[in-house]
Amino acid sequence: MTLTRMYQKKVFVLTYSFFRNKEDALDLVQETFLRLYQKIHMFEKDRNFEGWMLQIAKNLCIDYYRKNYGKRRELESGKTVEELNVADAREEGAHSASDFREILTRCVDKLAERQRTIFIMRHYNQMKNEEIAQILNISLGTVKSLHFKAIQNLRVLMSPYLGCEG
Amino acid sequence: MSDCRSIQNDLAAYLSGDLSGDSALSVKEHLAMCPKCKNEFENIQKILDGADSLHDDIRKVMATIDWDALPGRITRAVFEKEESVRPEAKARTFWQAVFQPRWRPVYAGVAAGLVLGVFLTLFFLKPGALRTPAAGSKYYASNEFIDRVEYQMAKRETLDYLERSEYLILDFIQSPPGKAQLLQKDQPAQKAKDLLSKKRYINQQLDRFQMAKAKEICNQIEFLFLELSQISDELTADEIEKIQKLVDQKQLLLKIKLLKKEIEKSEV
Repeated sequence: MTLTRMYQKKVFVLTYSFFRNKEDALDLVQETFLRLYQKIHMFEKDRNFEGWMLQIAKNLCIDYYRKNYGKRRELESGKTVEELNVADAREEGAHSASDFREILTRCVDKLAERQRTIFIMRHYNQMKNEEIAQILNISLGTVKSLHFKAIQNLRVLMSPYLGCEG
Repeated sequence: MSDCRSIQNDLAAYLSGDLSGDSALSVKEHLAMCPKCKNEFENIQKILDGADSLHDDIRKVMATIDWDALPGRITRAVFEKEESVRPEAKARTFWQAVFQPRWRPVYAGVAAGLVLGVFLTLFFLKPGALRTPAAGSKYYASNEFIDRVEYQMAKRETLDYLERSEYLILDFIQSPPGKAQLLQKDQPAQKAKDLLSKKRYINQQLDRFQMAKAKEICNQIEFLFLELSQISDELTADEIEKIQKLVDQKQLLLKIKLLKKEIEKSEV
């Protein structure tokens, strides 16, 4: 109970960053703590507990995303990201900040899994590169490299909306 | 131009604050004099600002959640899940306790012992697998070997019986009627009685080794000797003639010779 109280917000930020859906995020928080209690005997004392817990949450998010998302966002609005981009590009200046964020989240969904995870952790979750490296169990250099590729790809994906050369 | 490409590659790191002091300074200076790179910088900044603004959305959503109630909800869910798993876990507990990995070598040893015990029991109890040695004897022999020896001995006994019978019959029938009585005074009857007792032993051997033909001839000889054993010391000429006729009728001497040859060749 105390453990849940201490870390629930941190886990929620991560799960919500992945799905941007409150109910799904809360379900994933619950699932994370359930898994945590089941696996608590496997925790090695010299490891960072918060990093280990967020790693469990991240793995659950990736599994859930693979099973339930994919094309779900496109189905929700009935429009592909390309259609949204074209429409917005034609009416330059008519788009709002929320439209921009909607297009951005769609483009983030299109990124490769590791790029997407790092981008989400870095910007939505506002984690430091060192934290991300620990949770994903990869080197700091790999985190930086994947983050750079994620931004480059987003730049290409969003170029029609930005109204400039890609 | 190559400078622009290098600067544009560093823009993401520059915006994320990942560039060192000197590199960050050179990017800043380049952006101040290059409108193309400045435009690219603004585009990337727009993307990253948009991404960072999602964090504000998260804060707004978090404000709508009852964080005090969530731990209780999670704890209940954990217990419910534990309860649903428990019956299966209980069912497994007994068998898991019995077949613990650390006991497996013991079970394997017991199983191997049982299999070996059953095998050895069957092997030693199998009829004729090994002949039980006589008390105090140091030697063992297989049943098959002993059968072979006994068969050879039966053949020898039969041949001996046939040979002695042949001599006795020849002695009797070749004697002149007057002398026959003297020669046979105490010998033929006694010899016939000896051979009759031998025949009783041979009978068992002939039956055992299924020597049917030999047995039939031996029976005919036996019949003759029964007659001989009953004759009195003083034979009449009629009695001697009667026995001689019997030998001729049955062609006993010829049959004995043939049978001897056959037994020697083991064709009986």
